[in-house]
Amino acid sequence: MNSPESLIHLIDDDDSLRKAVARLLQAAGYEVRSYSSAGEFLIADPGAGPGCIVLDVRMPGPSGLELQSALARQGNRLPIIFLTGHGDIPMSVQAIKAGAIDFLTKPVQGESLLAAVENALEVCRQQSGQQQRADFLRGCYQSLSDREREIFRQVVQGRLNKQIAASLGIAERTVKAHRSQVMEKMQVSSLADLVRVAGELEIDGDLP
Amino acid sequence: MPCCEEIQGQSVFQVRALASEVDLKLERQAAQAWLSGPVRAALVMVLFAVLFFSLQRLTFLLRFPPYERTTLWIPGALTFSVLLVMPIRHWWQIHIGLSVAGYAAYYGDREVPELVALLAAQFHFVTVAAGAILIRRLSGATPFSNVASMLLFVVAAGLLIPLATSTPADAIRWLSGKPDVWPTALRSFLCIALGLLIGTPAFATTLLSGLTWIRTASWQVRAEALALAISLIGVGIWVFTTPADANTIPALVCAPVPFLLWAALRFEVAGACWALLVIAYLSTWNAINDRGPFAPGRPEDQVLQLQLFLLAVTLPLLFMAAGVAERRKAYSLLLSEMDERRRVEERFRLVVDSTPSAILMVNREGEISQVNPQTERLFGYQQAELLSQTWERLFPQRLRALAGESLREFFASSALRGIASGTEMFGLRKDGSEFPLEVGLTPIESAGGLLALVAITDNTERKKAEEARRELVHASRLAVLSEFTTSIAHEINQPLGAILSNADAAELLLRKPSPPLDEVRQILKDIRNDDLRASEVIRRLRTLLRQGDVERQPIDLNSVVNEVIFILRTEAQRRRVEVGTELSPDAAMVLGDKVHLQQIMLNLMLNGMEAMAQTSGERRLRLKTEQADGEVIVSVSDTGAGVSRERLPKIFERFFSTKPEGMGMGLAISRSLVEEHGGRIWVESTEGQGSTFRFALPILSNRIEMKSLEPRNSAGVTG
Repeated sequence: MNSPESLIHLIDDDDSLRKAVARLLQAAGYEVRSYSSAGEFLIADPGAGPGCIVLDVRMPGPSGLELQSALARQGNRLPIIFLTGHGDIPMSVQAIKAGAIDFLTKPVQGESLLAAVENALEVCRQQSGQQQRADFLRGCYQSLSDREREIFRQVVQGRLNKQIAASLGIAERTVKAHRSQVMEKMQVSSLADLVRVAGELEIDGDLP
Repeated sequence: MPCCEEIQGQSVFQVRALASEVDLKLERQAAQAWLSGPVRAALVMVLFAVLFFSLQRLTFLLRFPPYERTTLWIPGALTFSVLLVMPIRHWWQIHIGLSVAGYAAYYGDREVPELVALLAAQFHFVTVAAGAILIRRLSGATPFSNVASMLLFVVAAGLLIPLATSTPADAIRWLSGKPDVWPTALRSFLCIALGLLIGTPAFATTLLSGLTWIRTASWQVRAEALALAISLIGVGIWVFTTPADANTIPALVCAPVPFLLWAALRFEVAGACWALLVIAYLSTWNAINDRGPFAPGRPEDQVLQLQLFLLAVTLPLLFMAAGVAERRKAYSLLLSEMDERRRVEERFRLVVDSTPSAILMVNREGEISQVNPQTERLFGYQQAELLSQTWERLFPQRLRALAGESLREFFASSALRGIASGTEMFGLRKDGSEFPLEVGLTPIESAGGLLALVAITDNTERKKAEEARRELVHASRLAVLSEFTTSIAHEINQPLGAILSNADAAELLLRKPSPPLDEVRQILKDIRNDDLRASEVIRRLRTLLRQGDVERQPIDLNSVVNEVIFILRTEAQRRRVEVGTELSPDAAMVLGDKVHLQQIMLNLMLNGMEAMAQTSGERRLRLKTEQADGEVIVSVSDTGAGVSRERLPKIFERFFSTKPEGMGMGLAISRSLVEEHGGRIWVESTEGQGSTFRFALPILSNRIEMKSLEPRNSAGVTG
């Protein structure tokens, strides 16, 4: 279940707690990197690989929440699991609103922590899958010529070949040829697939 | 005439009258103001001269013709009494008056040349003055108030002065070869002596207190005096006009005696002497006119008989009157002393009865001899149920030995003290219920020996108030702690979380086919450490949460500061406050209750953090301890908003808070705790820059330490 390349970043100012949580995660087979403060994590290179962050909300210096927003600004989309105390409900709410995957109240049950980490890694994996497909579709889309993109746009708008030909002032046959070219380049086999791809690419009728 | 000095003389003669007459004196003095100086002196001279002249003339009338002698010579008594009573510096007035009157009395007398009359007056003055000085020296101005001084007076007036007066004339007569010098000498001696003995006390007492007597005597006394005078004069006339009869003479002569005794017993020296004067003149006058028991015989025999009769009556009567005066004075002194004592006792009883404390008197054996109504009320006994009982019954069984021991110690040293100080004392009511009390013992001398005045104060209300206060302090502490429960929870959850994770990790590791036992051992070690860490936090909190008795002990304020910093470090972190310290290098020892001192620090530090809640700049809390002038001063400075000048004076008041949700108890409680420790607390603040709270407690030197450790003994320890 554990993909060997996933890395868990553990950020907590409390030495013994950090050590214990790191031990637990390592015992569960994860690779763990420990940091005693938010700053230490920011300086170190988190790497591009999959993983997640286990973060203490309350720390001297920049707090967990501040690190969360800093990471968001940097476009780092590593999922974050927060560790919080009992009285930190407002903080937890803020953390979740800002996109935290989970928050766990200390003291943390090993099972819940491991489950949360697994969940986070899954999210991360999904995120990285989605990212790859988006990159792929974007590449396909880049390979289309201007005319093909125009025809792609009008097709997903649901216009008929005849209408497209009329609007572009070209022959209907030519439209058909472009259209099959678009299907081929976008690697779809049906109009339905093409519309879905357009959705993923966030292309609607107003595409450039 | 009375004047200032005479008040002294008078006080001797009329002890009782003087007390009630001070105002009268003042009134008289005021009236005499114009009578001062030359006018007064002239008046005295004239008055004396007139009186002396009159008396001398009266004496001439009472001479037995043709013998030309009389029974008693009264004018000398006037001189003598005035000299006894009058301040010596005014005697010259008498001297002049006497010279004039003495000369005038013999004016025109062929047998006595003017020069002789003048010389006789001078001689008379000298002898009488000598006698007066002798008496005034030896018995002060109290010649008639007791038997001893009366004896002195009798020797002077009845022996020395007459001898001195008559001897020179007799000697001249003897030297010039006149016959029968001795019988004449005896008669003239007795004449002078009787005059002085009877007349002097009568005049002197009249001069001193006659006016007072007239003004103040009750009507019963006046009536008695009148009755005495009438009966004495009546009996005198009857006795001394009844024709002589050999069978009746002794009885007749004795008839006035009862009335003389009456006068002496009831009116003392003054009464006795005036009565004697009446008898003397009645007998003499009637004898001259050939009436009564002394009528028969030659004139010289008549004179001697009369003189011997009068002497026989006068001497015992004078001593009896003096004895009566002495007794009466002693008796009235005793009465007034008893009266005073009764008044003192009454006052004491009033004080005892009206004090709010229960008061009882207890002797060496603990036996109760007196209780006040409060004792009855407090313990529920009737007075009769307590008297003659031992006081230990007022205490519960377990404290009786202690009470007895305290009483024994008290009687051993008998200094004012409380019993069993430092121990909670309880009283036992009749119904068996107990109540807290305080007992103070005071030594009291009484006829029956040393007693203990036991003052018992019901401490129920005080205990209640103390209890309420303690609860308030405790509640405030809880409230303060609740302000940072989040931090406390964090503080405890950190080690708990570590323990849990370590345990989970160990479990996972042990599931492995070949468990890394070294790592598991390390984990167990870490678990132990974290557990200790968590319990340390709880231990410190428990100290703060407990509601125990106030325990004064020597304590280092630096350690208190460090302890509170430890407790608040997470809270400071949460609030992003940087805590800095500057502690005195030496231990800052004070005598205090650890929890209360921590509470003060906790309040001040949280207050400082609170003050910086809205501060955007740096949040710095600086703690400092220093020692100066026998005090340890602790300061807590923040970089918060500060307190405005108007609010500053109110900051330690109850229910005053600058925080919207503040209760306003923290600083008020801090102040009361500081003051309870004998210290003071104050604040300096600059708006916009921050505040510094300081409190100072008396430093505990080794010397004071021993003393202060004794309960309720030094300032700042009573609680």
